[in-house]
Amino acid sequence: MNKIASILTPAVNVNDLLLRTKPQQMVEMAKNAGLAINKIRDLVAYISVDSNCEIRWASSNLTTNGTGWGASLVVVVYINTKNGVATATCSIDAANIGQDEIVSLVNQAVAKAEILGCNVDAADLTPQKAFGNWDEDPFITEASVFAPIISELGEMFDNSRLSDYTHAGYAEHNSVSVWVSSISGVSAQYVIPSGRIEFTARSNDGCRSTWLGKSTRSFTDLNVASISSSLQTRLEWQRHRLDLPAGKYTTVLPSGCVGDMVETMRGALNVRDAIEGNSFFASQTNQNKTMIGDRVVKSDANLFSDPNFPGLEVPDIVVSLHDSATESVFDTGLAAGKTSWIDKGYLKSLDGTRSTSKATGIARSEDCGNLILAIGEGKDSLEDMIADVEDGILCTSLWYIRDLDPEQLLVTGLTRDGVYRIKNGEVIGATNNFRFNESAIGMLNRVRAAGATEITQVREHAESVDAMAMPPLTVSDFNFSSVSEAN
Amino acid sequence: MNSPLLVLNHSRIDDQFLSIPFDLIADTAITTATKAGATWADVRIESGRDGGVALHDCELETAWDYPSIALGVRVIVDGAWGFASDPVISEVGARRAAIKAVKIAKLSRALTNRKVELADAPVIGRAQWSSSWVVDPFTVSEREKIDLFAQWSDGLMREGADHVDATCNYILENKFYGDVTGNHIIQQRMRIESELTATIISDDGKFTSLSTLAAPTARGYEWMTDGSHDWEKELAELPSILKEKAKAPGVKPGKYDIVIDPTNLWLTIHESIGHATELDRILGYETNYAGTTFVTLNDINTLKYGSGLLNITGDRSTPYGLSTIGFDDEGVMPESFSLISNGVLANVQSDRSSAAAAGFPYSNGCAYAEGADSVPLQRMPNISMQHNENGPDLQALIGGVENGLYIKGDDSWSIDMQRKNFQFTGQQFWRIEQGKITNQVNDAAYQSTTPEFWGSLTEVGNQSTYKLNGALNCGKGQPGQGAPVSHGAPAARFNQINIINTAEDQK
Repeated sequence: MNKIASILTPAVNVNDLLLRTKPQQMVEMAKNAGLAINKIRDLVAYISVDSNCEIRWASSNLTTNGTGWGASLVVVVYINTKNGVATATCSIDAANIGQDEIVSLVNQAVAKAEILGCNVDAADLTPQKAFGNWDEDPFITEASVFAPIISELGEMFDNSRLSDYTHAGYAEHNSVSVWVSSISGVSAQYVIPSGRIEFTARSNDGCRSTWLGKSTRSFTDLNVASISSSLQTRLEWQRHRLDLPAGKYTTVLPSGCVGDMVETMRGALNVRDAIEGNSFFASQTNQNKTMIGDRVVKSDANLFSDPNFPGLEVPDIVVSLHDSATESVFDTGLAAGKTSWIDKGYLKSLDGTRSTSKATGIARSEDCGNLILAIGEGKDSLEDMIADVEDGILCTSLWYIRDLDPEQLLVTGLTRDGVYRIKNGEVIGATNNFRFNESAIGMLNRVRAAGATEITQVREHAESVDAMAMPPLTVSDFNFSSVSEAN
Repeated sequence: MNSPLLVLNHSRIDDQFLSIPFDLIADTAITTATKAGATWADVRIESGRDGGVALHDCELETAWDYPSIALGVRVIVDGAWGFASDPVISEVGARRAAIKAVKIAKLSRALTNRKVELADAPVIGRAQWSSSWVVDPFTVSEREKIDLFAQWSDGLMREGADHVDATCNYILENKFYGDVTGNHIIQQRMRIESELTATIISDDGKFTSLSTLAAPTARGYEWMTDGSHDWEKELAELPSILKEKAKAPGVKPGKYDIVIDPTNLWLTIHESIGHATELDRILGYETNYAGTTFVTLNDINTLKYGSGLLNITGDRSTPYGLSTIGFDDEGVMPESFSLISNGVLANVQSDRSSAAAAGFPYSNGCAYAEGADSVPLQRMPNISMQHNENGPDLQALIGGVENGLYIKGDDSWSIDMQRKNFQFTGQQFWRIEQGKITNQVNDAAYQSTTPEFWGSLTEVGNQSTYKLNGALNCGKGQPGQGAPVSHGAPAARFNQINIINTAEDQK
């Protein structure tokens, strides 16, 4: 995980700790409080120190901004009762607490566990080897993280004032420093940085608008000049307008649009719903009641999560502070390795816990937090793919995507800020926006061409998804259900 | 800060929150900021608590209780905004946040040609306000809540549901607001939402779900027990409606006259009127994210938004309304206003900076931040459609339709970034033939554009059809913030609306 920390520049290493008690001390205090209670079987203490910084702009002026930080201590207690093991999770803002508050939190969690009663998932925690540098201080990000882009951003604003468009956009940087430890021996420290930048260039008459987003963990890897050039190219494309009716079109989707569509099927990739018949991935014919082993998409799609994927590294340890269909507090400390969800079009695994695995016989699989799609040997760039389309549409951002029919994984949504007409391998102008009714499965069934997988920035799901690598795709018969007059 | 205390509503604000030395912290932040060059400074301190339980098939899935506390300092330095937050509620935290806020404002100033101004607002002085809740959900044993929802889930499963998901979420919000003018305002709000969703798996593997229609509300745990919502009746009716829904045929696409129940219409009001009339969207501040709007400033008093039957109001005073509050997050006492009058746009929603930018003399009190660690944005008041005193009741509304649909409960929703093209589904679509409800249909969605849809409004129900609905977490802004908001609506009829069959549409 130091690999992640090393790219977190220019974050500030805060030695005059903002916290009243050091994270490592808080963890020990919580564990000691647990050890003093006879009925406690185990206790997980989790400290996170998070910080954020963001700037926004509109009409080529910075508007609102913000910077902040916070800390929380979460304890999960596992207590012996006459019927089995009961668990409970309690948390507290940890910026300004000491021994008394921590002991009180542990006592509160024990009392809550007694009320909640036996947890049916009960199993012993099985710690893997410790990782991370336990003695690290938290990383706190601040406004200086934007230093590499500020002057170029100013130039973009100035240039737009001399032209017929303005810039709107947003940049944010976040850092989460975590220490997690259990009485039974779990020990992990890691830092997860994340960030993104988004640009919307919009003509002053409101008739042309284009969007670009980039994922970044440091703001040192952005080529703002290139982004600016792409925005201007796309705005120029829009000077020629060629409206189209609703219908099904061959559509080129950049990696971000593919990511937004793939994200809509992620929640369905879980064992429990499939076993219960409440999922697209349920099967009435297979013995295990799921589609694992079945071909689920016609293309040779490989969909996987990998904690060591370059540029999208995430901790390769399970940390579950709550129970859900895909999480169990008893799984904290397990390894979270690479998981293949779909392998060459066949469903390979579904997200589950040790408990669901025991109940169903289906091997435990873990969504470590990132998601990668690769199809075939795709090496083409978006530009290469446009060049291969005789007659079609290039759609550069998807918006307001909502579930329509979970049985088919059908969603609805809209195109936004850039839909273009492709003829004979060239973009010949802009077309109108559309509403689409489509599914990720349908999209992956109708892949005509797939490009090179790249780290991407989604738009619709940007608030919740920050670690994706997707290829651009050319898809046949993408279903545009109606025309949207919005520009 | 020596003005007398203005107390609105019955005030029962948490003693622990009241023990915070607000004057000391606010003065420290404001003094630090102004000494560093700020011409405006406001300070918010918020202590929140988000709790709940979730059950799956009668078993507890998870129980949560997230406390949070932070202070936020917002400044204007040479016409540029700066904002910083800190979790340490003390002079140290206040000073640290004020310094950071000024620092980021100076960074912002370098890339800003426009200077922020604030519309005038009367100084409130010292005030307290609390919403009208009775039972604090955080004092009710989790066992009691779990047992109640397990019992209800069990009842649904005994009546044929294969699976039941149940959630109860409750939120407590304590907030302090102070600023350079001497405002010192302390408020408390409570809200709760409960929902049960039952699912049937048919023999052919098809699965069908139906959720309860109870709306989130600014009440306490009494919402679950005092009869203000008839849970027993709703849960008793749900299994038979679900069973019929599971066997219902797909809708035949085409144009229908539709009667929309307030349990569905609230969301259409929210998306196509609420968001479209936000002044910050009109001014372009949400261009990169939430979007712009087809409404312009020149449209006020001229834009025909819908038929002459359409009357929409904005307020932050509706009893049990999720946006209801004494003062907004800029210390402005909100006003109630007409947003659409007899079908014509009459006003827009504003906060102090957007009002000033638009040349309005004052804000109508629509500033809200989801916590002290978030900067206030212009957010919706309760936006409600007025009933027609002389309008029909639900039976008469349906009775007047020859070939139509009656739509209840919200489900999927999607609208474009200028708030025109939209598509909504629902929990229940009932066929109306010759004035009578016959059977349910599946896979239906109504697809329209805002002016066309509201222009097709032909009948508005009377007060007996009126209901307050809403959402706990309307999203907007970057970084994203959730806001609670209610929308009252009567049942209403819309003629010749395009209905699509979502399953067929994709094929």
